[in-house]
Amino acid sequence: MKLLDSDTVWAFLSGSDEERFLSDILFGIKCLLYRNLPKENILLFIDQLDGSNFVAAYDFPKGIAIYSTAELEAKLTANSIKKLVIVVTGHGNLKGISASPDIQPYHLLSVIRKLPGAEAALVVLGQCFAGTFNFLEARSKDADGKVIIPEICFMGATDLTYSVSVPVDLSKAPIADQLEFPLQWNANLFLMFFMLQVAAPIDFDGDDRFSVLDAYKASGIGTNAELLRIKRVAFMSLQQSIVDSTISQFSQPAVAQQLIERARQDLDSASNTILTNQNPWILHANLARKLEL
Amino acid sequence: MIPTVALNRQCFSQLPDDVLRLIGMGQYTLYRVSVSEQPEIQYVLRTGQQEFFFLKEDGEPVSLNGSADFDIQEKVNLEDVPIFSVVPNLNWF
Repeated sequence: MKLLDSDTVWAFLSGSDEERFLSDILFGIKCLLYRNLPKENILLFIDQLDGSNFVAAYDFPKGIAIYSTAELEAKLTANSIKKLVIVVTGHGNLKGISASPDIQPYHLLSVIRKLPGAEAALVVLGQCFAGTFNFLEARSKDADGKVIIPEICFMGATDLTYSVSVPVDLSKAPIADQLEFPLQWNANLFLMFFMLQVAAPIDFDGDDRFSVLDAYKASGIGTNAELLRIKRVAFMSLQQSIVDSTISQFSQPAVAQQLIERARQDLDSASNTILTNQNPWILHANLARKLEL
Repeated sequence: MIPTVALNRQCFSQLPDDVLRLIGMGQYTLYRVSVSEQPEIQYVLRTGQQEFFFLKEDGEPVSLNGSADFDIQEKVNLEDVPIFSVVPNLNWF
């Protein structure tokens, strides 16, 4: 079952319009266009900071519609989708996907289950605590052995812990010059490796097919291999950062102090990168084996 | 894609080192903007999902989540702020 033909819709979802998430989505779009997926088959669901124009500044390709995450159900239902892939970046929390409103696991499952005419769906979860979506009832057969349509596969970048974004440089990748994308950004590692597999799939398990299961294994291994490598570098860098910043005379000292304190907290939080291990997971591996890139 | 411009840290003498480091890490994003009502504002520093700072030309923060409309011109890359990690060689191909 092919996921890059005209019967498949790819939806990218982020509850935040911060730079790294917009770049994750842009990279994903470039990978899909590289594989000749029609632009009309790509939908974006991005929550934008009120009154801002961050998304507009990123100049997403013309012809790709951008909606809020609250419109997910309505827009997917209206599109008569046969096969669906949802790629989630942005933040996660204890309840599921951070968005306006938050998207809880059973809500997303319900939205997909109700899609008229849908045969299969793949959900790739890159946000923190993606494991909140694990153990859903995603079986493809009911108690009588009848296949439940649509079959659904969930894949998580991490279990009940953080997923990390780190600076990456893909400029040496063989397909880099064909992606027309700024190849250095603060990438969600798992999603980056997954989309690389979409752009240039490799048959890792030797079954002569480019399956989602291949992409899952590559993404998980790639993420943890890079995490191990960056931990040492990150540790050294953070050690160096533990110095007091010199403060100048500010015309708005209260605002400056807010920024200084925020930065200090965020640098402290960056130590999460050193402490985090990502354990990817997949729910309904049998379907992943059938889904091809 | 958003246009980018490379500047060095000396352009932002009023931004604390921690902030520069976080920009280098990709956690914060610096944009050059124009704000018609407040021409002294030259940059927006995005620090979180719901948070941004207006900055003067030298990087001095002047307001948090300012209400003035702004047009984003470019994303600023700091060319002399080391990022704390890079994935140098991806050999999946």
